[in-house]
Amino acid sequence: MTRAAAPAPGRPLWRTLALWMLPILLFLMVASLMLSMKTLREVADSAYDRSLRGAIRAIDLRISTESGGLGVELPYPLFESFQATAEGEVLFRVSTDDGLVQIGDALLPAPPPLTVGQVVFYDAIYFNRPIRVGAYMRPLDPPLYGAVGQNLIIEIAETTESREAFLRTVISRTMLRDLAALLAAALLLAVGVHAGLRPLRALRDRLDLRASDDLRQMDPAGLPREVQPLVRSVNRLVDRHRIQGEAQRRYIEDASHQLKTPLAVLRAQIDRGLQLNDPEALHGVLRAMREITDRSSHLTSQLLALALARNSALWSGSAAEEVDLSALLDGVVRLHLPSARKRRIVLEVDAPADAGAVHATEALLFEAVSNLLQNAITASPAGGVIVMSVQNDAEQTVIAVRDEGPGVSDDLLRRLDQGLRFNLPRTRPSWSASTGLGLAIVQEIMATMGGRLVLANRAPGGLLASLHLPKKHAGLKAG
Amino acid sequence: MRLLLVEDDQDLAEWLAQSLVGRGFQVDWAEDGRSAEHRIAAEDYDLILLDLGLPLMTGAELLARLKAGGNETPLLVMTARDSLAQRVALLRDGADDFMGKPFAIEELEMRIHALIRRSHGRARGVYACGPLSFDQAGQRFTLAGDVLALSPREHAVLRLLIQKLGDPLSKQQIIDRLVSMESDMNPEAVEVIVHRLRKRLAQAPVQIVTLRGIGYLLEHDEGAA
Repeated sequence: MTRAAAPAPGRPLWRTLALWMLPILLFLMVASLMLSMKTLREVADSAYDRSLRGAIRAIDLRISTESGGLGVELPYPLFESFQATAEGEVLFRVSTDDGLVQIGDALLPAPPPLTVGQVVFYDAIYFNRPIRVGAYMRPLDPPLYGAVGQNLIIEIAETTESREAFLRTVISRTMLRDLAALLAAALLLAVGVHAGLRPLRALRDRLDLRASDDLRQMDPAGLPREVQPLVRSVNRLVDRHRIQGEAQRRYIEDASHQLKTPLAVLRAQIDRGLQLNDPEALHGVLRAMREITDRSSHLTSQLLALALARNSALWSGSAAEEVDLSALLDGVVRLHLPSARKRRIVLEVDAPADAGAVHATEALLFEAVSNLLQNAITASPAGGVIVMSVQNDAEQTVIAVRDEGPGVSDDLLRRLDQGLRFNLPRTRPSWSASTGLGLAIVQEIMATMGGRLVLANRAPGGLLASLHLPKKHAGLKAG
Repeated sequence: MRLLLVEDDQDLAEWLAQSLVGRGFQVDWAEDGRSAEHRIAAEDYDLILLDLGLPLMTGAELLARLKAGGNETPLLVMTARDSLAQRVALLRDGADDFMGKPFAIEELEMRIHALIRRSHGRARGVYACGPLSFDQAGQRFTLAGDVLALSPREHAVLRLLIQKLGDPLSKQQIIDRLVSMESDMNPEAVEVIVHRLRKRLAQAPVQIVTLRGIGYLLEHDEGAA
């Protein structure tokens, strides 16, 4: 049997779900956090930058060149309120683009190339402190010192501590909120799984509380739709066991009937013998008793073999292995050779040198083949030929036993064709025909292997009994 | 002839022993595997009748121990658990014969005699099949008392067959066993040898039976004897 991958260990359902969900949730949250950080920074920048822009406008309005030089009247009240809201330092510089005039903090880093009439914001470092700078350039009219095309640059900078602090607050709140959502999801998952499994636990309790012989069907109503197929499967399984149990019970009844009858006969014979005084008559009774004993011992072995086969049907597959057919046939032949040779019956084996293997329980297959050969030997005329053969094709292996005996009755063939199982005869068994029970055993064994027994009378006389074993009956049986 | 009956069921042991004594055997009884082992070690028996389901040491265990210890006393197994596959396994493990319970005492007696005859013959190096016998010491066959003249190859094949009496031998098995002696042996050669042997035995009630797909079997044709 090819073994599938090792079965997954019994991991709790909630953990399976959590292992699926939580990493994905975590990934989504980190991604969204990174995205929102970017957005938040942009929003914060645009808000803070607006006040920088306001300050630039205010300074711009207060620049005068009337005195011939460059004059700036700083908007101190604005600066103060600005400084107060920024919670940091505000720096400014008013200069011309030729660098001849600079008012304010001359040490502010040089601005990037500017476009006339446009306010540009950028980050920079000022004495190891991060700053945000707004810069604006416009033409100076009239220019100073008679220069041509001179531009005026206004730069306002503020330290960024407050905006960083603002960002940190917002982001940590976002993270906290996400984390709380994650925890809530995990909690909901656990609670949900717990609640969702409640019907299953109830089902388990119902099964646990059942008496071991209670093989009634279970009502799937009220169970989640996903669980209902499971319940139906359990029901089918229970049903199979019930049917098998029923057959077992019938079998035991039949068997005890069959076993007790010869005992009753023996008892009657003993009682009769005890009444007799004539030694010759007593001897006759004893001989009759011996015959009954022989028959009933044969019957007992057959009944036990049948019970074993039926039992194996319940546990089929447990002892299945690759059985070498050549070795099996050889064993069967050697077992029956003495009884065959006693009547000068010739046994032959017609099998390819490598007859191959089948997947089966060896003891059972041996029993089945042995029964067919036993029947053939019983049926064969003295000096007859019995041929055992093996044929393989893609789907099945056929083990056949061919004899030159009288064959079987049409009635028996009809019963087999109709798919009827041989069973113990209800009436007193006909002692001479031991084949009935033997075939029942073979049939039972074939049922456990997913194979079938085929009987056919041969045109020149004799019986062809064959076992058809599917190549992959293990799979069929499991289905 | 002295037998050891190893059987734990007292009723069966008693009645069986009575029957066997009535038929001229001397019977000792051991109730379990361990005491049987002691008796076998201490005394000399012609045959052991062994039940399988024994207390203290199962029959199969005892069988294994005896065979491992090199004991050559013929051993007939009696069991009620007559699963056929088990029977084959037992014979493979060294049991000389097998009887399923219940059995007919005549049958048992016949088999006991056959086993003891075989084992005594082997001890003396004599194998017999009806009027045909092979003396290992003298390396010669006699048929009804007359020496049978055979070629070396015929001699070798017939010796294999008589030593494996009742057990068919395939051509390949014959070749395998003779390979040290004959390097150019092939299946056709075996057929030719068997054909010649059959001619030599034509008048005797002993024959070599061909069981196609199984092998050759040497047989005493009792009906014709």
